Amino acid sequence: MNKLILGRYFPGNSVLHQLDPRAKLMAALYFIGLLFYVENGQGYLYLFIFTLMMMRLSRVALMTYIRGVKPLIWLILFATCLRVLFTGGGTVYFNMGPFIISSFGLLTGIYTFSRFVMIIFVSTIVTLTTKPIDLTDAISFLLHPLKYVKIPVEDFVLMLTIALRFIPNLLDETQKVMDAQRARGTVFGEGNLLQQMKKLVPIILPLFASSLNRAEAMADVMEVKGYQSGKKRSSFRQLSWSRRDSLCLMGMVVLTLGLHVLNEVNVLLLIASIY
Amino acid sequence: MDNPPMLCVDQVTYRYHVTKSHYALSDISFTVNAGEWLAVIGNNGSGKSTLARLIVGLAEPESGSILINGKRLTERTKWQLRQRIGIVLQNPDNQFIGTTVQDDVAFALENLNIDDHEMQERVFRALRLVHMYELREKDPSQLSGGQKQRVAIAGVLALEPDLMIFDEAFVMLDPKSRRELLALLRELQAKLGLTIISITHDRSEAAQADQVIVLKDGVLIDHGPPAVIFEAHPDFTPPFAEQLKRKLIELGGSMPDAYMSEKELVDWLCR
Ligand SMILES: Nc1ncnc2c1ncn2[C@@H]1O[C@H](COP(=O)(O)OP(=O)(O)OP(=O)(O)O)[C@@H](O)[C@H]1O
Ligand SMILES: [Mg+2]
Repeated sequence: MNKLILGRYFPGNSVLHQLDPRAKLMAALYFIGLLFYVENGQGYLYLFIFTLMMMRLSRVALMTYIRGVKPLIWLILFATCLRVLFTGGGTVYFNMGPFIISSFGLLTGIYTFSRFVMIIFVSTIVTLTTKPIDLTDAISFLLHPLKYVKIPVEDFVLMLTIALRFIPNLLDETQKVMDAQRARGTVFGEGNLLQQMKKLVPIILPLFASSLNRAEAMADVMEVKGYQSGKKRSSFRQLSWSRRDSLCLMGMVVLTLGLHVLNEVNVLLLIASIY
Repeated sequence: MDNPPMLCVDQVTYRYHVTKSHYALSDISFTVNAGEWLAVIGNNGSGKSTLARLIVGLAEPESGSILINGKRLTERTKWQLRQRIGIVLQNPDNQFIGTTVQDDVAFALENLNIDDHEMQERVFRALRLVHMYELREKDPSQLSGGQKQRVAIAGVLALEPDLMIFDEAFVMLDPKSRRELLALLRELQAKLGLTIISITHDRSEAAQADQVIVLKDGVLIDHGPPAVIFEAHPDFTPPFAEQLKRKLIELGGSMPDAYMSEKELVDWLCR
């Protein structure tokens, strides 16, 4: 459990920590979109350097980010291999049935790989530097327009907040139930897959029961405290947008212009090389 | 004296399962005037918490009626009437809605759509009163049972309702803070004409009340000023864990000062 970096918050006070969560979330989503607009190697390099700079700015050790990618590395390599094996073009090095290894395929593979890694890095930057509760506020803000099509955004956000608040409780309770089962002689992590899954049943059932009880009790509390779905309510937590948040979004515009130039330059070089 | 009583419970009967003949409350009637303090005492399972749930409209009586400020509590009026009631339920664990201490205290105020400046002021003031201001950014997993109870009490204080209900809300507090908070409530009661209903096993807490009702197996068996009630019910006993603890201290053991639930006591003794 302690190994999972993606989704965790590291307290600190870097520039990125101080940015408004709305600015951070918008910028990150935009950046991920931008990754699909890159057309050539120098574009990827450009965005990669930018990502590294942001990682530096967060003042979180590089190792932390690398550990964040690790649990997903097999997934990434799998996706990369698919891209490599099914993309033809350029010089063909190897060909067997539907599988091709070509120069073009290898290049695509490298692009896919770096795109994935950058997506993970950027999302990790956001979660490492933003408290989960601030992140929910930002999500609430971004989903706000959905209210006009009668989607209960506030309920959804409250649900998310409560879920976040219960993760530590749930982990705690899991530990307790596991200890109780251990005391009865269960050894976890032994036996074949079926046996191991069987051992999970006496953990999941009590957890389920206690979660249901808790949910019911909490619904009561919310009711007596006057929470009504769809009723207008004020918010204790106030986000404040400052100049540096606007600057952050401006930065994204500048980044896009830079990328655009790099894309164009390559086309120019291509045209030049033809003539 | 034309004002209707703050709370009027009239021949209320309730059972959890309509198919069973066991009544959690049968034929309960009493009134509490505005500005009064009522203590509810009785053994485990006597129906005290059930009564509290009925008063805030979490459950509806099978027969009889509950009037708050002269208005009858029904499915339709409960939302409006609740705005003037603050309650601390028995279990502090499942009462924590917010992600942090201050968010939790603000929750009821947010629902009343109070503007953020006033809200912050009220939340901070309430947190200072229960000595939780320094811990306002903490999340519930970092708090002890007593601290969670303080947060729940702060939630009610910040709401500034006309009627406050505490269901064994002070049991996990250390004796000093408990005394402090009870004194504070006493003060608020006198100053603002606050009405308080406190469900308790603590004799000194019940002694602060203007009147006491005694429940036994869902029946109201006595009603009167504390001195009279204590005289008539010398067997009015604190919960088992508390009794055991006192006995042990009497026998010369050294025990932590704070209140402990049965489970905590067992854990402590087994150490
Ligand atoms: N959710 C429930 N479903 C069915 N029966 C219940 C439920 N909650 C309580 N009861 C029953 O109702 C009766 C009164 O319970 P209540 O919780 O009101 O007691 P209490 O006086 O608050 O006790 P304690 O001092 O332990 O808090 C008990 O007999 C109990 O078994
Ligand atoms: Mg109770």
